[in-house]
Amino acid sequence: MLRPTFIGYKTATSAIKVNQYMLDIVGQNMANVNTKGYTRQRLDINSVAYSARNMKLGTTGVVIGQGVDAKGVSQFRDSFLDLRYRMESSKAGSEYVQFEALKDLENILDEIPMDDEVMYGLDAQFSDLIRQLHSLSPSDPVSEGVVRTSAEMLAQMLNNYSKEMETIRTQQLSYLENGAIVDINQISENIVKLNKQIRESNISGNPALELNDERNVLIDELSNYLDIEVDVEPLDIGGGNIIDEIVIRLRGTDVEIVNRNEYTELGIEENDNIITVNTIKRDADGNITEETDISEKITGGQVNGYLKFLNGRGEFAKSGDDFESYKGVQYYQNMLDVLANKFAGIMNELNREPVSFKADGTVDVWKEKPLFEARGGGEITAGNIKISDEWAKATDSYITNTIIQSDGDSSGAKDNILRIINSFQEAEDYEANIDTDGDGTADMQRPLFKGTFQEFFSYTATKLNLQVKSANTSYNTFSETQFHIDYARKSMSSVDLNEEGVNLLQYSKSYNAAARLMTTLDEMLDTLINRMGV
Amino acid sequence: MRITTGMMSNRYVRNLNKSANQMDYMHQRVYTGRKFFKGSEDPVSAIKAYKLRREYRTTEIYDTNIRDVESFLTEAETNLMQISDNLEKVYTSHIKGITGTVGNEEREIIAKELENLQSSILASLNAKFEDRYVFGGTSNELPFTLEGNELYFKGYNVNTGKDKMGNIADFDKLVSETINVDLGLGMTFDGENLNKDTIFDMSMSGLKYMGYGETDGIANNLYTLIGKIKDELRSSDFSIEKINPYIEKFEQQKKQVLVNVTDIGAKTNYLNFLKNRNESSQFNLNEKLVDVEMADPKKAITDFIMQEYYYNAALSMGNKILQNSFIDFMK
Repeated sequence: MLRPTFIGYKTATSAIKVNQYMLDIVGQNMANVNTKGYTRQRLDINSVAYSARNMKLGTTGVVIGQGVDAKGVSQFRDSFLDLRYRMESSKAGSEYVQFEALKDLENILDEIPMDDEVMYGLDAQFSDLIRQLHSLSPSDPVSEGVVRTSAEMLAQMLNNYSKEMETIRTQQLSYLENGAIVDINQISENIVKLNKQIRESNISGNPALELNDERNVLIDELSNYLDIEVDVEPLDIGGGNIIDEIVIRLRGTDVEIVNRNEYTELGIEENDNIITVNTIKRDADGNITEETDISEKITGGQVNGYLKFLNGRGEFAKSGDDFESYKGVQYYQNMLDVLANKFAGIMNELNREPVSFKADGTVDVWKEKPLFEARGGGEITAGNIKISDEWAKATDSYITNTIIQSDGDSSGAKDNILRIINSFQEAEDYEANIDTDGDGTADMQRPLFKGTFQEFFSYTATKLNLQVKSANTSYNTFSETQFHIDYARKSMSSVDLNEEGVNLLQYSKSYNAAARLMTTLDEMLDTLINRMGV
Repeated sequence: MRITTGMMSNRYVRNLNKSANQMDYMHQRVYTGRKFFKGSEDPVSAIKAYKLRREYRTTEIYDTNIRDVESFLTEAETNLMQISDNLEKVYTSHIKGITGTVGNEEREIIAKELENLQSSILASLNAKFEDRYVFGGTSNELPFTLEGNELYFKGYNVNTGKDKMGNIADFDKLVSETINVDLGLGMTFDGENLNKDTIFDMSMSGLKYMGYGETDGIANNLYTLIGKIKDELRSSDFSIEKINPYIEKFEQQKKQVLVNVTDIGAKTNYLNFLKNRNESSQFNLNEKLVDVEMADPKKAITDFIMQEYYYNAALSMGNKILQNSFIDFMK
């Protein structure tokens, strides 16, 4: 078979064209060396040879290829690494929130830090009250004033701790409501927008790689908030062409955060101090038509961390709910309330004054003289404890110094003061009283601790210390793993300047070679046409 | 593994940050001398520290209490000693010499002397230390008062036990009144009642020291006895037979006062022992606290300097790692 005269030009042209593309890709890669989420691209090329099926007209003899062709541009990306990255990201997200929030709590309850050897805090205040009781002269209103001030400071400190804890609770709630949830809805909306653009591009044959990168960054961000899985659903657009669309669900559930061109709006609801995350459906006018609680299905991500911290009641949990049985802010609030309540109860009982005695010298009738009471009435809690009005107003001595019957004046006896002092070193049982049916009275009890007031407090503080430490360790572990997966991902996807530099040289050489081929062919034809037979 | 420039700088920045963090922490350690700054850094030590701090504060309280009780006892000892000395002096120079033939004038002189003794005893018995009557038991009011020639303790006649309304007090109860102090003997209650061996009783009943009630028609109380002797001396039908029983009782009770003085002395010794013991446990606790909470300065400084060295090394490495790429060598 004869070789067509101009056939070599096609090979040279294709080589020039493809090498030009190659250089363009190098250019694109180099330009995006610092772009967040950019995935290194490559040109998919293959060599070309013509062929014919008809044997009659089939080629005979030598068949030589006809150059090179670029089929498209693709990315260096491993979806398995994406999957692992997002899993770790959601774990790290949850632990991060817990760690940060618990750390804030720790700043209140932790009394380890000291300024110049001065011990302060609730534990030290308890000790101060004991000290003042020791040096209290019985029935002396002046030295009792010192005790009263110390008791007042203790009550105020409890109030203060309780208030600060509540502040942290509302703060974290607003981080969840106005931070995380708003962000999630925004990200979902943006993913939907990108989904639409990518689909349109794909239909017209454009792979839209840059849009994919952008979408991947958003999905990465979303995975930090929620534990998600991304499914690729193929869509037949006719003509044998299939494009991929994505659906994002909460891992292992049927809750769809993003489904192709639609996303689910999330919202927050607070009920009896329990926070739930709901999916929201609206009608055309934007009114909410349906809310579904999906809290239980959120197993990871920052939102999981927030729910644990905000809803966690530990031993005070009313239900077996995962979030409630976690030791979150409400657990520590309750613990402090239990302490205040126990302390006030014991002090009040010890300060009763005997009115009359039985024949055997034991007390017959008592007169209540409460030292502490609740601001605004009701159960005494850390938030409302204060010294009783009666005590605050007393001009004479108010602390019952003796409960032993005696002849003559016994205003100098201090047996009852010792009894009060002793109560600070007596081990008490602390219980969580839980009102499961919400009728206002406790119907279930769980044991918490046995020890003194101060021991109970440091038990609570160290419990928190341990929790902060473990959250910190988990967070470090997960974020370290996350970093390493990201490292592996970058190893595949990020642009390397050395590589691009080498490619730049290589492709410009190839380009020169292709151009050279063209020149040589030209010279050949010149010989054939202009010089032959002359 | 394929490594890119971006990965290298990324990891470098991360490590540099870690190193800087660590250095800041080490610096804080050197600066404050503490081993840890938050409970969560070392929860086990935190638990120990809370407990040790509490114990330390308790020993501080005990220290104050022991010193207070010690001064109180010294005050009681001084006063009782004074009473005892006066009794002895008057006894040897006057009472001892009373015979049936002492003249009227001389008897009057002795009676005068005894009157003085009475008022000095009364003054000592009502001595006050800070805001507490030393010999007042549980009373905060003036314990010893006079109604005519009769001595009253907390409103009850020391001889008859009756108050002005005729109510009778239980002497045994009055003298066994206690003022207990917690001096770190491990105070416990058995139900409503204090366990006596776990506390220290600092009450000094003047009634007990001076005697109360009557035996065989003769008052046991020293003040009353002195009054009786004085009355006898001044009496017109003075006789040695009539005065002798009072003098004998006086001798007896005088000895008892001396016994009580030594009794207080023994208590003071015991307090000294308690004080030393408390001080040494305070010292031990402090040592433990330092061990748990404070960093060893030598180690802290060495750690800091090592960390500084690592940090500087990391900084200078950065220059090398992020230096050149192939691009820089292309022609």
